[in-house]
Amino acid sequence: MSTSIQSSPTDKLVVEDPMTPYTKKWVRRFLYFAFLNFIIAGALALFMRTDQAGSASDIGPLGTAQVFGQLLTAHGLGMFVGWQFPFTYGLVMFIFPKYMKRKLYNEKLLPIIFTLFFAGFYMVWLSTALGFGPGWYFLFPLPFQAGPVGGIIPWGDMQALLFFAGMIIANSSLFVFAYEVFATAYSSKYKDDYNNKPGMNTSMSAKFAGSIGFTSYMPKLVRTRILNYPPAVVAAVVTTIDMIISAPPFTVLLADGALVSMHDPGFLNNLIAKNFLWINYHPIVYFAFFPLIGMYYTLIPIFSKRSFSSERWLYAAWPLLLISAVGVYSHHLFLDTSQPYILQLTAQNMSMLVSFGSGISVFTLMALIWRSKYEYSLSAKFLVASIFGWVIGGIMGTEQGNAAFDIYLHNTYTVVSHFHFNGLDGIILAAFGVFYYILPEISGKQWYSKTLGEIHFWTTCIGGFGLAFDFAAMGYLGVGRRQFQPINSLLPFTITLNYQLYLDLALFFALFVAAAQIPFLWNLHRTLTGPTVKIEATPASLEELRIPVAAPAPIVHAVNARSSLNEVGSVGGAVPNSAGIGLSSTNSMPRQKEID
Amino acid sequence: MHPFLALNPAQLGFGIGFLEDLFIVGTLITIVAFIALFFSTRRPDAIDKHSLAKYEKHWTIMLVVIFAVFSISTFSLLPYPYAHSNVVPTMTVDVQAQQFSWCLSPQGTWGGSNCIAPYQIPVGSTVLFVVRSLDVTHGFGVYNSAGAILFQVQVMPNFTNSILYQFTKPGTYYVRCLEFCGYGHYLMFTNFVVTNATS
Repeated sequence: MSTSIQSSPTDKLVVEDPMTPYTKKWVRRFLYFAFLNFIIAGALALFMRTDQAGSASDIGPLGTAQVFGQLLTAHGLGMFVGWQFPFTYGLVMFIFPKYMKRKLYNEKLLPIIFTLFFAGFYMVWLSTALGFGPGWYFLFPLPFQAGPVGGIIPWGDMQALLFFAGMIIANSSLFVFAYEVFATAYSSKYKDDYNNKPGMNTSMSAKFAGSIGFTSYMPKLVRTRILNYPPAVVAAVVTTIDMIISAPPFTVLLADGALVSMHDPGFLNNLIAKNFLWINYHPIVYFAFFPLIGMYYTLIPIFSKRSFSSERWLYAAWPLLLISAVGVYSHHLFLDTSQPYILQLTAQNMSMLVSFGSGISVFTLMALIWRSKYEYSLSAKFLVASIFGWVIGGIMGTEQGNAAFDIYLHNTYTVVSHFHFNGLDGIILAAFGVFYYILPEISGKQWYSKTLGEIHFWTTCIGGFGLAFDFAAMGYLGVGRRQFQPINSLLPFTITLNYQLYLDLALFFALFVAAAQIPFLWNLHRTLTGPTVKIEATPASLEELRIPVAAPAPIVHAVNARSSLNEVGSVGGAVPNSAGIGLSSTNSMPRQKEID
Repeated sequence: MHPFLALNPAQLGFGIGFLEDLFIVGTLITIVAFIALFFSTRRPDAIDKHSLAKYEKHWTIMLVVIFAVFSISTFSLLPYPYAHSNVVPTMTVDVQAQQFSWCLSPQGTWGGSNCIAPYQIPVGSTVLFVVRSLDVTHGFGVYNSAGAILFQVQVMPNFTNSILYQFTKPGTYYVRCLEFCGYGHYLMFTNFVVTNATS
């Protein structure tokens, strides 16, 4: 599959490596920016835990209800938006050239995406620093009616306007990103197999089916004539479609918020506003997770030296996840009885569909590892741990996705536990695994220390899982989330005295997670300030892993190698057969020529 | 109690304790599965793809059954009043929320000087709580005296939500806001009493 792009009818440019230095540079910037925001948002969480454990007076100006509200707003936004968006942007921009072998359609858009997001999101964080604190999900009309605390109105219209303007700017980066994704995925300008393979259906509808995994549901006669996109690309396309479907109503909500901040009456009622919020804020939680699942499907065959039993199972979950990721949103409104009944029932069944799709994926991945020669490298361990977090969080999410049971769980710490299992112990762990794996390739630097990486892995797991299990225990006790002081001397609960142990444990495990990032940061610092070396590219699929040592390595100058690979039948990263080959590597770093 | 007469899962014995047990059992099964997965990789072997595809199909069918049963079996247990059109509540209580206080009052009186604290409810009553807010969104969460959560419903300005609950035990019940409503959110609570007097 030679990779070329015709930028204009008269200017045909043959690209030697679709992963250009320029793309790598911006992928790095997105990922560094994401992890910077992760560290900042994590530190904010640490102060929240300190507040709740009753130790706030030990750390000076913190320890008021107002600061707690600002912290919980900034922390949630920092993780769901500030970390997740740039991470996904960076990862997806890596996925296309790496696994689809296509140069990005217009890589000059990358700095635009970065700048829009950077400017917008830091306006959002600035608004929280100035007092804005309605929570990371801002239910109308709270952003405009802060309510007095100690006779003081904690935020006003200026902070609200800053927040909404920042969110609009940050979200506009999503539209540019989506353009880049769709253009790269579907443009007919690329002269490769997806557009030109003889005997295959390369129509736009066929490409679309191949890009979302819908071929799994087609008759054999039809699906064998459609080229499936690589799993990581399918995941990237699906998450982008979900976000772009849900972006217009959310943008309307933000615009309405900006108007109300400027003393306009606005045009959305509170129920519609809540719908417009969650129709976007639910898919947000999948924005990074879907591409990371795509990376599971890409890397776990490599780590286990095995291919999937069939392409159908590989792709079957994606159309389900595409539909349910948005359709599920109304489960956030289970307790609004004025929400149309049909939406509640739809959301409940969509929640089950998400669990079903996740169940298929987890089984497929675990079956691949089962009795394989799984390579427990650092990245491989991160991925397995994150699948564990995904399953545990999924069990809890299934309970919460049932409207009848949600009356016990909604807005308790079970919800906090659910998204810490899925977020911290699922998405973040997977993100670390992928980051450890791809950093050498995009930076030209070898990781400074494997030991520091191991320390990072184990301490993050202990802290992350400890924290989420502790939240689960609190949730089943009935502790409400977002309480500045769950134990309140004015509250006539005697039972709340039992909360103290769990609040202290939450602080302990949060400190553990925070401490775990120190070796990571030091390792990253030493790595990036270390010497630049020639790094072999990681294999894009199990097929590439099987290249004999004597063959050209699939690295920086690997266009020829890739071409020869494709000549023997590699199909865009899909892995056709065989029960694995013997590898002995235990190194998480990009492979050396160690294939037997 | 007949499943179709129950107003919520707890009346059939499937309250929050059941959910906690379900989570614990699910977690333990997952831990065992991952430990087995780890040890399986110490005895690597070629995989029989035909068998694997069969297991995939069995697993898929099992998931469909589990999730379908979990969803469909609870349709009659939704706490929404319109899901129980045959139930006539014994009494209706108006609940008005405002940053950062609650007001419970008799049907149709809505706040002001009509607030009764603590509100009295006869034991055995099936109560329709009709909730509304004067300012922002709140969460009407009700706990028993042991601190266990019994039910909750969102309280949204300009909309009226409602929920049914039957009180079978006398005692003091506590209301706590379960939706972040501003910096005083954690101070927003009240209580009511279920008395021994019959309805």
